[in-house]
Amino acid sequence: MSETTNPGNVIDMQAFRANQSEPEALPENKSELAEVRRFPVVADHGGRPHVRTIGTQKRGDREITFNPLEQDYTPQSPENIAPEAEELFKAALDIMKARAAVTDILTQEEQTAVSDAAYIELLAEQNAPTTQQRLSSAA
Amino acid sequence: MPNLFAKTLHLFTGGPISSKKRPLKKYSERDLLRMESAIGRDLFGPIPAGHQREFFCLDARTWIWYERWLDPQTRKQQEQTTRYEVHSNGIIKIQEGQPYIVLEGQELENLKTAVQIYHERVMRDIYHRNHLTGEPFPVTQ
Repeated sequence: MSETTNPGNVIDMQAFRANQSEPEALPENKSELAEVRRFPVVADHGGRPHVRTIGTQKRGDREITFNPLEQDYTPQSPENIAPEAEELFKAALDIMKARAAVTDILTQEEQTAVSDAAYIELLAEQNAPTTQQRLSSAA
Repeated sequence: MPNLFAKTLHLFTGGPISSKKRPLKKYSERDLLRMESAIGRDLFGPIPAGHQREFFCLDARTWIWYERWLDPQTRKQQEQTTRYEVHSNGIIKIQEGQPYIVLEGQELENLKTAVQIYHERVMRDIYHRNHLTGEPFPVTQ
């Protein structure tokens, strides 16, 4: 049995994240969000997809943090991601990077950006309120 | 997700994906997916006679199982595309005309095992990389 098929072999997401070159490291809390490089995020506005970025924007004399999910962007611990999702996601990322290296579709920097954006999207999805939560907050 | 299916179909039917010329590139994305699928199609056991099966990683969030066969009753080609989407709370199985299913139990275990073997074999046999580190194997003289 190979190492990857060992059910006790849990992927070390801290190490995975640490491998992401600076300054792409994910924010640990909201206050660090402004320091994060701007990642493209596709947000759906009434059926019309918009490519926007995570980061801060000036609105008059106020500086606001763009929030693609219209709620506080506070990534939860990666440990909260379902292990099977983490496993498939990491395998796919490895393969995509290897593909990109062969086809030379993306530069190394672009590969990193794609990986980070995809990972952030996965984390952000965790924070999306469920329908029940939306209904509760609307009530 | 019509775009996803269109992309998948183009990858295997040879339809136009990109007009971008890549004179220096040895393989296109389509070539690589076909090579990967040649490994992936055998991971779920013997393929029944008359069936065509493809299994491959489409992108970071999507795994595709495509099956096509000739219906002996109607003599018509049948096909089914199963999409496994990776979400933070689990794996969603999507088939046309079927409700979305959160994968669990034996089916989830089978998919996980298949992906582990796919990852290991594709990285080793196609990309010549260590699947644990992602690093290329050293070139031996």
